[in-house]
Amino acid sequence: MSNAKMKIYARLMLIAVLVLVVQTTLIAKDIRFSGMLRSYAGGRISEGDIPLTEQTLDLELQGWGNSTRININPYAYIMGEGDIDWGVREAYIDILFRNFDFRIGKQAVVWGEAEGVFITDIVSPQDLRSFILADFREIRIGVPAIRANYYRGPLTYEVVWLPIFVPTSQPGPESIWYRESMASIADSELPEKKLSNSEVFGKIKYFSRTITAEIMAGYAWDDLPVLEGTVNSPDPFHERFTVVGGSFSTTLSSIILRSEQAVYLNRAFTTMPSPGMFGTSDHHQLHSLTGLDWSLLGIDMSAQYILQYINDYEDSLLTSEYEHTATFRLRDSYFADTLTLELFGYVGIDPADMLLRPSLTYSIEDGVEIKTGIELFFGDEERNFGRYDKNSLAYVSLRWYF
Amino acid sequence: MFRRITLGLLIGLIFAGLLFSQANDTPSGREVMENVYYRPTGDEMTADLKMVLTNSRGATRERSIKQFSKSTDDVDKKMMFFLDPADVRDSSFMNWSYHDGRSDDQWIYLPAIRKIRRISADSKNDSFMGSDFTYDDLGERHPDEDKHKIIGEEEYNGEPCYIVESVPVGSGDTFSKTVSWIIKDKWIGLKREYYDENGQVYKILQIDDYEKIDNYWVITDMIIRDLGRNHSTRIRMENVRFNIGLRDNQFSERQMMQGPRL
Repeated sequence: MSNAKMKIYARLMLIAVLVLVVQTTLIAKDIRFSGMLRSYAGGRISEGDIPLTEQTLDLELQGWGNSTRININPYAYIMGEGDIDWGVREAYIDILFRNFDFRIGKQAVVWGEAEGVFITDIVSPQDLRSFILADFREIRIGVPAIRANYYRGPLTYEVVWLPIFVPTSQPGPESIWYRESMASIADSELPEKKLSNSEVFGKIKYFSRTITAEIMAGYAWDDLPVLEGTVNSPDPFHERFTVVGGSFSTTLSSIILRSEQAVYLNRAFTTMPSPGMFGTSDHHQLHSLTGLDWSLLGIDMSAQYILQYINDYEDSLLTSEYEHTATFRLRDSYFADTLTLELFGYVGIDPADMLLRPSLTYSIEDGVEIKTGIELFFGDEERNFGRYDKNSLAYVSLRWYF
Repeated sequence: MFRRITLGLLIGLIFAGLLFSQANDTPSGREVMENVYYRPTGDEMTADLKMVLTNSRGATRERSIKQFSKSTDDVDKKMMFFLDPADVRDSSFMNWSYHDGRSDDQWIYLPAIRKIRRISADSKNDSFMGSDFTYDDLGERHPDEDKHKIIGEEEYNGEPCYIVESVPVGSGDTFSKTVSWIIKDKWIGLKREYYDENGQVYKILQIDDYEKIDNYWVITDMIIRDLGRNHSTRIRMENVRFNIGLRDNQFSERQMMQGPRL
């Protein structure tokens, strides 16, 4: 079947789901319609151009029955030249019982304690078409899944089954976030759609007055592909791996301590065993975070340290043995929270690079806010943030919530 | 001579008795605040709250909140769900206050990141959703957290009141002391003044209405004024219902994320 036909069928299926959900909504007891309209413009400081202009419509329709709930979240991005990217971020039905519930449908799953970093939070793939600058809500891709939760005292047992693998979205060649190296991982070969290729994750969470803790495990496909073949003719494909991990948050005097750890067992990494040739090699990888939240002189502060380490390292790997990153956040509000100043930063260590995100948000009236800020990239050009140093942006956005 | 001694003893006994009974009738500052803290408020309650923020120019902003609370022998639990305006809709807040005087535990659910965050002790003096109430104000301040002293009695808004000065025992509060007007016998605080380090009043909480609902005294209208910023927040409570069958395990992360439909 051709790609064009597949797209038509996919859209017809989407419309069918929409009709079904709307129909269910109409017979639901209680319906709520809400959303957000956003106008955004961003210009590059060094280039003097305005490559990012975007209007966003994000809708949410919710309906409640006696023991059911539906949620549908369609969106549309209208780009500067009139191109429209639209779809449904989530469309699911909750079936709620006293001690357990099910969520069935397209959904984004959020796990863990980390902020702006994905360690155990790998159930949903990411939309990196705007690098990592999109809102947290928009950076996760909803995936078809069945999720079951069972609640017993302070414990929650959760299982998520994803029948179809959906990879992380990368920027296309027309994007300012596109890099030539991304060409080699574009159009990666996806696993065949069959039961044995589904993904499954499980989690046990403990919640009490002193600590929130969870342990998790998963059998997943890597959202990012690895490469085989040659530099001129790369062959990108996805590999399976097992993940085990956990996280906790607790109070230490007046400070909140957060931690999140995961070990990716036998994860495949791309190697270059000889010049111009790609290969793969399996290694265990540790991904670890420790974070603190506190308040000083009325300013909310947060700091995180993140370590990635590849066990049994070999020189042909294209990924570094160690990656050290830190994040920090400062936030203060004035005039009854109508004006908020924030500085969020990612700092790569050795070699150094950085993304600084100062912003100012003013609430014009309830539900209407204007936000302006700068996205500053600098540092080593081979690193994650330093390579975008020409993309440092100044932006302004206006949001209207309804 | 004997008659004079007997008369003197009698008068002495009468005065001593009067003094003794006076001492027994006037509770200590701590007892007054314990009576306020332990005043029956129903084991479970739900209500709709309207929060109106008024700035120095008189412009107002309104928030709608659904509140649930439940008391057990050792802990009072409260959940607040923001219904409006749209930019804070689906946010929720949970507070657990302990009768043994431990500091409250608080959590907030932020739908934008779909995560529940613990609120650190130092953040409890921060403004609650832009209002003049702090996160700490939304919990139940245990009598052990302050030293209390009755500094007077007077009629306030037609009610006989004890005036109680309360000085924080520990550090970390934004105020150096509070002075509260407590209605005798009803044990409802009608007014509270907050003093800064310089001994100046900077914030006043005033109860404008209260009523008896299902045999419980309920504060249904209160306003807090920040004198420095000339900003105020009024909370009106409507649709108050008691004993609606809330379960203890409904005061949970699950409920915070699911919203106010129980």
